[in-house]
Amino acid sequence: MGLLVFGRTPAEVAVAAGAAGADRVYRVPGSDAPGYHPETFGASAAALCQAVAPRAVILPHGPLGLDLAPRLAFLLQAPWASGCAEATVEDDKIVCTRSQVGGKVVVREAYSGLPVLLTLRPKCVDTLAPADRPSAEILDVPVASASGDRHLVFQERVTRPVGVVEELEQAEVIVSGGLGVGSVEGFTQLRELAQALGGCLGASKAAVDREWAPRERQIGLTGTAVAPRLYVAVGISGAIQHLAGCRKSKVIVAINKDATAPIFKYAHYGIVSEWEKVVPELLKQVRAS
Amino acid sequence: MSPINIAVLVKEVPDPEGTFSFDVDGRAQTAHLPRVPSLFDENAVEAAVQIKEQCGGRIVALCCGPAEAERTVRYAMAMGADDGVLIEDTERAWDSLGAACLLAAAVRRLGGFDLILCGREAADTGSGLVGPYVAQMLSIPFLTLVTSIETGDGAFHVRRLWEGGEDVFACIPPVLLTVCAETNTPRYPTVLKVLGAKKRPLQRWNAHELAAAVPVPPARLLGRYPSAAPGNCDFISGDSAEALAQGLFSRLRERKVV
Repeated sequence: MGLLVFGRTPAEVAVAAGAAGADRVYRVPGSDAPGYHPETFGASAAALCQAVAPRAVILPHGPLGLDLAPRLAFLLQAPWASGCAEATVEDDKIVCTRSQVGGKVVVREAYSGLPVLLTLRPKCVDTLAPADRPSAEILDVPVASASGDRHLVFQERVTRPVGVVEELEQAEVIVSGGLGVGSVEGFTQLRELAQALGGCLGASKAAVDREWAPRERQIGLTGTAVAPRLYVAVGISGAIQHLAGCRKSKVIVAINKDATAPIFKYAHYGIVSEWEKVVPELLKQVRAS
Repeated sequence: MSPINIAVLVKEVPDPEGTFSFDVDGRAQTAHLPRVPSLFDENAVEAAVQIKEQCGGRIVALCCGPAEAERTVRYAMAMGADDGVLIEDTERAWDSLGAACLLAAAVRRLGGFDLILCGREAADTGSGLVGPYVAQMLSIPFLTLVTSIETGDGAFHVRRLWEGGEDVFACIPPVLLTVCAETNTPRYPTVLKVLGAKKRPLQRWNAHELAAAVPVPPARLLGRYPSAAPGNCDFISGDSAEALAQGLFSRLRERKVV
């Protein structure tokens, strides 16, 4: 297994890659200039794949993978399995489980031939603890000709002021609110509960669209994907696009006054009640413990 | 910026909010579902119309789908597209590679576009393949996951999603961009515009005439089925909010998640 790294590649990368199971780290000379350079990155990745002939190329199903995978697939004339939740090797084939219709439909497909490109959805695979393995060997990618990006000129990277997305991704506890919460004030109460539990606040798309919570707090297919130890869904009906971003949570609690809400099909614990009554009581319990 | 010729690629999909079922061969049984324009494609049409309002030019909406998909082409025309092309085809609903091949052939036949827009992914397949493949089949540059497009100085100034923020690019035309929901709020066409769009001519092209050979999908389908919900919720009972909260909290403690 090899890891392709764009940008700066400090020695710690090779140590961490080795501990995670990689044998080699491939660096792209010149890619440490700031920013994303689509055509240069695509050509470099393709040159590497042509040189080492991997059986599968895995990219994150996110801003990098969704732009780079189709370039690489086209250059290599290889199939691209987009939006994978799982991939296994069965006989001589790579079998991908992908989600479609916003997570509502599951499709299993077998790919043969070399290589296969996969974009893997975040928080779908449990990461293993680092192993006691030697550091990966660092090699430079043989870039044949980097023509540069003449038509797509990178100008600058604008980062969000606070790392809300990172905070959500790393949170052990998330208290999330939806349409049923009904107001900005409701979200203030949810934030209190989240803080008391040592966690942070999330929101459904419906709540974010109504500006009850900031956009960067959105959990779901088009927001952030999370898998905390505890996910408390308050007044969230459980649209499939929301569940796609939280169903890997270890324990899901749903509080909703509608007993038929789809969220209860995915929840481990459910309370059918008005959240306005239950959340303050829950907050008392947490604070008393 | 001088007038801009824009092609918008749109897809009609079974309503994603509906219930999907599949037969043993993984063929979608969606005849009972209403058919709607794919979500992000409406953002693409809106982006095209806004650019035309600023700079002038023409917009062509292209769609690959069954005869009934004419509605979606006409909806794009009601939103502000000048012309519509329907590539009549019933086989490419779940075959992104095949659809890209047909759309690329259609764009090539029309020719002369400065900008090609489409949604970041279709609401059904969700793969995001068509846009990038159309661009590469036509040998033009592309960017995916675009959140804003501005015109000026002979270039499109484009923002696209990045981890924790956005990247800003200057794109020299021609270019293909795939558009996210953040880009805009699609307009609802007025009744007058809907009626007007119905009367305008629409080109219907035959898929077989357009592209002699459409590639075979690379994967063998093993199955396609609705996502299963675990459905093992432990409902907490109690006659007061306090009892419910207590019941929940004690279970969470037992399970050591709090």
